[in-house]
Amino acid sequence: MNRRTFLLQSGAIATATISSLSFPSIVKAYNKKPTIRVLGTHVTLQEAIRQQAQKELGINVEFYPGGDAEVLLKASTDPGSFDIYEQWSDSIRILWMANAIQPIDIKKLRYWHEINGLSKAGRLTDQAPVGMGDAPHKILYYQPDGSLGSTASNHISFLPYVHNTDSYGYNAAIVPKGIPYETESWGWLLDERYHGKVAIVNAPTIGIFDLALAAQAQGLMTFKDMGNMSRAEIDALFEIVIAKKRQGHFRGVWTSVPHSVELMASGQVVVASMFSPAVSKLNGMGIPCIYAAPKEGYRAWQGVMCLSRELHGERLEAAYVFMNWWLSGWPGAFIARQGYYISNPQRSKAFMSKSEWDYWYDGKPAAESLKGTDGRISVQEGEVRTGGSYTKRFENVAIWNTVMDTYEYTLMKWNEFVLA
Amino acid sequence: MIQYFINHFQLRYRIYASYMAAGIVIFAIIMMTYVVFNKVAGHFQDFITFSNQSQIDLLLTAQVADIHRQTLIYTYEGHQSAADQVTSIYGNLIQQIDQNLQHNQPEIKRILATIKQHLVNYHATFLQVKQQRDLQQKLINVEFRDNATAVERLINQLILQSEPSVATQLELKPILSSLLLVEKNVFRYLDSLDASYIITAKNSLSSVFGSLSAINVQENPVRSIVDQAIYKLHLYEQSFTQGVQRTRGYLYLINVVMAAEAYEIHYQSKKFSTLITEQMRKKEQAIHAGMREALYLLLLFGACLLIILITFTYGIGKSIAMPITQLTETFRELTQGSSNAHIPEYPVSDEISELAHAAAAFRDKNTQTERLLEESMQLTQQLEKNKAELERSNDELEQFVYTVSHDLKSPLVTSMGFIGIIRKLADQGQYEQAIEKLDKVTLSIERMGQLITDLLELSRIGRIDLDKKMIDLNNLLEQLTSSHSEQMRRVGFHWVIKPDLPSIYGNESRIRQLFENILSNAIKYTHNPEQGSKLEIGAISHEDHWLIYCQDNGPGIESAFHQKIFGLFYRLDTKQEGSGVGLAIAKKVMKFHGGDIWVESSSGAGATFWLKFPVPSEEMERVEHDTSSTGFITDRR
Repeated sequence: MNRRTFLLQSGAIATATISSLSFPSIVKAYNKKPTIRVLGTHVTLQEAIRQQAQKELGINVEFYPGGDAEVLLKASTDPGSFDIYEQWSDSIRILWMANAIQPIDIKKLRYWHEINGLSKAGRLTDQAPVGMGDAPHKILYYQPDGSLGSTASNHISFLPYVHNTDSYGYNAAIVPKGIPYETESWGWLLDERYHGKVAIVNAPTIGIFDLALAAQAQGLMTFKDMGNMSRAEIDALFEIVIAKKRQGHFRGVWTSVPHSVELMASGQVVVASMFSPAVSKLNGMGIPCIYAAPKEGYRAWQGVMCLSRELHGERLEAAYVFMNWWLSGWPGAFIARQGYYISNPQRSKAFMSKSEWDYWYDGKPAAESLKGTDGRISVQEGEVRTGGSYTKRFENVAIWNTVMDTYEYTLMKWNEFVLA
Repeated sequence: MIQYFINHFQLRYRIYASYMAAGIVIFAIIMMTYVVFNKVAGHFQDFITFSNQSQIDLLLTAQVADIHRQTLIYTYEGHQSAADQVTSIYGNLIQQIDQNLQHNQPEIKRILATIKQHLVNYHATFLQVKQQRDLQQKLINVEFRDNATAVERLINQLILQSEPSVATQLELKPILSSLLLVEKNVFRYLDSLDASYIITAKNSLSSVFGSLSAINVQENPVRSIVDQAIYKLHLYEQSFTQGVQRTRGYLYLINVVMAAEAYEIHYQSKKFSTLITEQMRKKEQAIHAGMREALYLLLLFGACLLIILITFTYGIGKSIAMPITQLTETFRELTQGSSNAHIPEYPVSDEISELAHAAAAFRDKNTQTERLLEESMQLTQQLEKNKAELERSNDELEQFVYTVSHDLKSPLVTSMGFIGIIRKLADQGQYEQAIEKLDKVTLSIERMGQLITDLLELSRIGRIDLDKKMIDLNNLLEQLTSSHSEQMRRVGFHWVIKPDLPSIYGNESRIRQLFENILSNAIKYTHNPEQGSKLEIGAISHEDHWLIYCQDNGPGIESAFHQKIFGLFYRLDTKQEGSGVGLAIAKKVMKFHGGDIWVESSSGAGATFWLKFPVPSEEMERVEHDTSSTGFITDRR
């Protein structure tokens, strides 16, 4: 038994024990094997996690993964169709307005105190700027008037857990390699050198910020508040990008991670909005895709777990157990190997080797080859994670994924852009 | 090649071959043209196929634009006919794609399959849009209105129930206004899709909730109505909240998901179009290149064939014309009487060979004619020669008659003179003197007799003693030396015979007579007291003759007499005895032997008589040898 196995097993036992002791009602549920339905995306609804959760918690866990829009629509219109909703913080306003979720009682969150300042205050360190848009802490706390805000209370709208920074990826075999935080810029998305070889994620609440950051970086326009653009700003932005698109600058939009991988792997695209798994996948295919560290800062996102408005009783308790399990260490270590961060990293550190921690969190060169969650080597010895350490990355957040007040209008402009 | 044709093929076959060659060339060019046109036709067929495919592309582009237009009409206007149209266009497109999926090449099939997948996704999303929109319509147009009406009715009911309390009425009436504001803002939102109206509506609703919750009434039925109103208000809120979410949902689906699918269809369609265009361009280039290549090949092939045909035709024509030309030239020469005209070789038996045979016959005829002509000329020449000889013989005969009659008359005249003298002497009785004169008469008669004998001898030459044989001059002259040695010794004459004299073919007695005459003349006329009289005989080979020279050291003969001395009875010195017939005999002997005799001399320098004998032929020598051998054998017997 090596150190890692020991830590994993001891951690699981400890979690199970603590869960049983802390939530007596769950013992009953445990024996009856209550089932919770988790609605969310493929980012976190992974079979290995489900199996591990069932194994450690003794409950049945059902995952219902889907596309962003699909799950958001389902959750916002049919709270009875799920128990736990796992998605992004930018969906919270919609869900809250739709009255689809219920406040989470902080007292029932075992590791709440371990959750770092990024989720609670919008930044990890005092010198770090708070990104534009809906930083998670701005919509975290349930306010006495029923609204959501940053003022601390006993109830929160979501449990912050998985998060990361996004940027764009580029094929270093074709595009000259840039210097992180110095020459790498969102402006590359509108750079004429890559005419016809640029793709944007097909998600208005995300892609619009990629385009806005690019337009601003290129000096084409500025925003009063990029996180909450006015209609005039939206019109100006789309006027720029639609013109570009009509000139053939964009290959198009990508609708899924595999699609983004295919576009870059096939050479149709050399610079594109990208998610971390796509970059890992391309690197695994031998394509030197670099996940840029833009000098303007990242576009960050916060994974959230919400409780259905209609959840109560034992299943509610089981849902709390499942949420606590997510912050218990193993899941955080698991998703760290996919490049994601957990909101209480220190607890996951015990489930990671030093080399893993150093590489994924501290931004140090990999002391050895590191395996991914599929058991294959995903990081070669000596490799350094682009963007540096966890702290470094989140000290450079330009904006958070946000559903702006002009959401509907954005959708229509997005339609113009996509079909231009 | 030409000679090969001539040597191996008959005329008619060569003519046939030229026509066949021309036919083959024409056929080859036709075949080549056929192949070229067939290839071009294939390219055109491909071109038509691509053209048809481009029509599919155009159809796709047009119908995808139409389907999205219909989708937007349905989404924003709610026309069911637009939704039906979407489904109809979708079915039509899928059918078109499926048909083309069966026929096209892998790359096009891949693109069409991708387009189909996006189209399926598009339509599936549209169905979701339709579902969401239907739900939204139901929520807004039915539930929202019903719930609004219900809340309004309950509020009005509360107003009626709480009529005595002015304060309660004052609390309730603004609720109705707020409810109207909610409804107004919800519909403003639906019209403008501006979320701020929803926030306003929510705020209004919150105030309604607050107002209703603040009504502090415990007694029924007012409490019950308030509770019902709050409940209905929740339903009201839920209906419009869901309506908003459904609106956002289908807006997201159509503006994001369907737009992306539509764009991918457009993109793939453009890619398809580019591919078709590229293939059409390649095909067009291939057609142009094929045409150019075909034309070039046709030209090259035609030129090659033409060269071959010209060469072949030239060869065949030449093989026909050349022998005819040559034969024409031959005939031209033959008509000019040539007997050695060249007749070209013509190994093949055909019409031209017949001409060659005719030419050969012509030439033979000419040869025969020429030979006859030559013979005729020879005969004429001989005749002329004979005539001249005859004339000369006649002259000689006249000279001879004159000479003979003159020389024979002289003794007779002398005799008759002496006889007259004798008669006179006898008449005078001078008998003794007369008898003395008789000796003179006798001498004249003897001289005349000698003349007659010599003439007889001359006449015999060529008539008798005709047998000839090989005569060794060495032996002959040695014998002659022996027989005349005494005479030569007596007069002091030297007879020098050079060794290795040749053998000649002739009559031995005449040849001996020849040399005796020469020797006799030399002894008679050579008086060289200083050196001693001498005659040297030697031989020189000259061409096909032997030249025997007989050179003396006498007084010589003036050139005026070089011919005359060979005349009959001609003597340079009449004091010497002799009839003057010796050299005439020598001349006739040499003539009889096919030779000649002449003299080279000048006065005081001696004389050289040249005897020209033909060199005996091998036949003569062989016959002589056989005769000798036979004789020898006979003698041996």
